[in-house]
Amino acid sequence: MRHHNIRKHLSAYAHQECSKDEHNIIENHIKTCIKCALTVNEYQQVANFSKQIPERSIPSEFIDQLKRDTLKNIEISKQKHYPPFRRLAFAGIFLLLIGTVTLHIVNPKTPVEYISSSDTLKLDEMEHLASILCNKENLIAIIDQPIPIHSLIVTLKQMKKLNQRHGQVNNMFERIMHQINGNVLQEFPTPLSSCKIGGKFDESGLTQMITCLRSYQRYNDTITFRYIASYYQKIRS
Amino acid sequence: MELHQVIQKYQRPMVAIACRMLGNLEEAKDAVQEAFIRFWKSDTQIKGDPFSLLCRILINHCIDKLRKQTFRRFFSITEIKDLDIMKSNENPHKSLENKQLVDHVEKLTTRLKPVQKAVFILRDMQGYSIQEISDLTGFPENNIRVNLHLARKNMRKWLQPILKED
Repeated sequence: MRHHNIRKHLSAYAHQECSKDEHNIIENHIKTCIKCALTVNEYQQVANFSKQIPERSIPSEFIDQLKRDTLKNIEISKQKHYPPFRRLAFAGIFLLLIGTVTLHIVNPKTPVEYISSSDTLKLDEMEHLASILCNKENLIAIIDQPIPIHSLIVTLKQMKKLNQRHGQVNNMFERIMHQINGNVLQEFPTPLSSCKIGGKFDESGLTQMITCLRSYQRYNDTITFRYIASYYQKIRS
Repeated sequence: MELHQVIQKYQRPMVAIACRMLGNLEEAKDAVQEAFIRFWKSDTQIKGDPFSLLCRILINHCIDKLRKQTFRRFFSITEIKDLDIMKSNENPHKSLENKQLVDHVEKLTTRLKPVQKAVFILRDMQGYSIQEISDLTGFPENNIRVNLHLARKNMRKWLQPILKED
């Protein structure tokens, strides 16, 4: 071993932690190297001082107090310590809650399945929609279900486009509205007095309806078929 | 062994170690309490002596605590000032009593890094063997040897102004 390597082992040598071979090599080296001999001496002095550091006296009252406090703290921890099945139950409830909230946010309740909010509404779909809405039982079922006004406006715009192409949809819409007014609203009280109507009324029923819905959107996000029919009645009268 | 028996049996040596690590009886008390609570919470089946596990928890807790102590550097500065005063004396070793020197050595251990301090205290002050320290701390033996060497080297360096006069 060279001088440089030997220096790394001097502290272990001074504390007699070297193997027998290492011990002999270092012992031979320090006989000739004054620097390493001095370092070993310094390490031994540090070791002597370290051994002399007295243990701090610990009063017996302190020990008794420590035991009492420790047992007391453990008792407190025991009260807070829930058994595993309770933890599992808490975790389950928490996950269920998170799941429900996430589902509600990601997939909000579809308002009315009869109203299409797809970008392309075809004529046969429109006819199907009209046939559903003209059925009295269906109408009674959905008359008070909230429909998002935004998706309704989109649908009405698509209907307007369809009307421009085929020229039948406006009539179909008016027929549906009359059907609702004639069949259903006769049996149920209509909220006409609370309807707020805006827009111009010199256009077709669909355009007037869209204008009315836009003005109503300022006050509410959803609307029911009962209101829609009431609007229409008010517009056309 | 019941918990209160474990506390009764091991609290004194644990306080001694914690006191040397943290340098304060009150802090040592908190650390030992924390170690017992963690030991109780760990739910591990102890076949033999629980002292190793208790010590491991205690020493790791003390090391964490020392790492968090931001005022450690402040202490280092005051100790450097102390040493400067000693350097300025013509023969500091003679002027300082042996007890004072030992106190200075104890104070200097606060300047060591937490792991170095832990192994230095356990080996050079408490007298545990390296294998025992490995059991108590969970550190590998080589790691302990390296940290011990660094700790002793630092201590020698810091005490050199006094030691050379000897």
